[in-house]
Amino acid sequence: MARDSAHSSILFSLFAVISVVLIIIPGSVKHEIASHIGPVFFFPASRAVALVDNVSSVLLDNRILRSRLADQSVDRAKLFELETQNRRLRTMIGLKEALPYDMIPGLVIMRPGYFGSEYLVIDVGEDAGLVRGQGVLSIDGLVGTVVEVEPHQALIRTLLSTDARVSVLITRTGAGGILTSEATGWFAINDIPIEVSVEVGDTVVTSGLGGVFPSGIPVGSITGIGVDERLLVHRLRVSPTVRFSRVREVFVISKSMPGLQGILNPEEGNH
Amino acid sequence: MAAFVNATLCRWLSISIWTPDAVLVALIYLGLTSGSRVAVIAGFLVGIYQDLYVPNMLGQHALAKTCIGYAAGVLSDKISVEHLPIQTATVFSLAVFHELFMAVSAGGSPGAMISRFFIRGLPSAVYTALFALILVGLFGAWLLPKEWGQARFRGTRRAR
Repeated sequence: MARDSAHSSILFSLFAVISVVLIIIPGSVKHEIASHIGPVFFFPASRAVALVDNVSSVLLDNRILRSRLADQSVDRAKLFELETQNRRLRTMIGLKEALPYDMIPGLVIMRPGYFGSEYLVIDVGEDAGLVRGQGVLSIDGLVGTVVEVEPHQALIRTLLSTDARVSVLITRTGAGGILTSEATGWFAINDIPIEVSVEVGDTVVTSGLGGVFPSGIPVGSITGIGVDERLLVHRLRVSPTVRFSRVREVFVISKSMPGLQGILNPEEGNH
Repeated sequence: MAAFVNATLCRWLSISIWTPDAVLVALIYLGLTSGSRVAVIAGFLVGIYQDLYVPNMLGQHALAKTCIGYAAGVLSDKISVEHLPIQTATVFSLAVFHELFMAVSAGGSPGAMISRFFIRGLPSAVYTALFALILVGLFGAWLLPKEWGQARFRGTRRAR
């Protein structure tokens, strides 16, 4: 133990002398010494400290970037919606310019829940010049007619309503008939004579008869063909072109077509 | 390791200008557990390492830490240091000596040295002792020799 104590004392004296020498040497020599031995001492600790600093910096950056990513995801969703709307509106503008009728644009603001998509409420009414009986289109095709008008909104009855009737014709053959709505969401044409050629895929458009809708507006396409052998007519199933549950923007035809009387709904006097 | 802790954890624990000195605590406990020979060498090397940050002070930390390491080793032979309050008192007294040495070696007028010691040095020494107390109190079972834990219960002096 005494030997250890002696060793300790010698070591202490040695290092103390070295330290004192280092204290009293000129500053330039100190810098010279530090520049040589500094990198050897500092490298491992500096790397470790830098690693910790980097990790905290990375964690902070990560938090900031996650927040920005969340904001950008929201912006991206909004942008996508705006792009889709823009496309729809451009198509509507094209449609508006293409058709030689005055049309009043409107937005669907409500779908009265009990009726599914049989009725729609739009954001224009008497203030925009709407009246009962006017036809309503969308970019995809025929939607329905105006059944009630209030000062700033209007109720549209769509073709899905079982009360709806539209005079149509099959574009390929020109054969005309009356389109009605089935409760299941399909349309039916049950009065095309059996001798008329019809095929699955044939396009069905408005005939223009009735004075409510212009001719040539897409209504649907034939997806099923049956025969009523007693009445000798085709029983056609028609799939609508308009997805009524997703209609957002519509056009109301502000002027009725002049000319021939078509098939009328007894209640409305039109459609 | 202690230098790494000093540069990271202790920086986060600093209160205003007062920072606990983890290197000093580690050196003192090295002297208390391993004796003055190891602590003198460690103190000199750690002191040189700290001096290299400020080359103008080359040798000052080395001398201070060398003395601290030697003193801790000598104290461990002279008194019973197994008990936590005695360890804390040892850390505090050596930390005060260290801060006093650094305040004087930094130079300047006597007034500057005194204000430097009482404004910065003494509170830092208190903080360092408190840091050691908490550290050893929480992790002493893993950091310190097992026989110290036994001696604490038996009240006997550790045999070298």
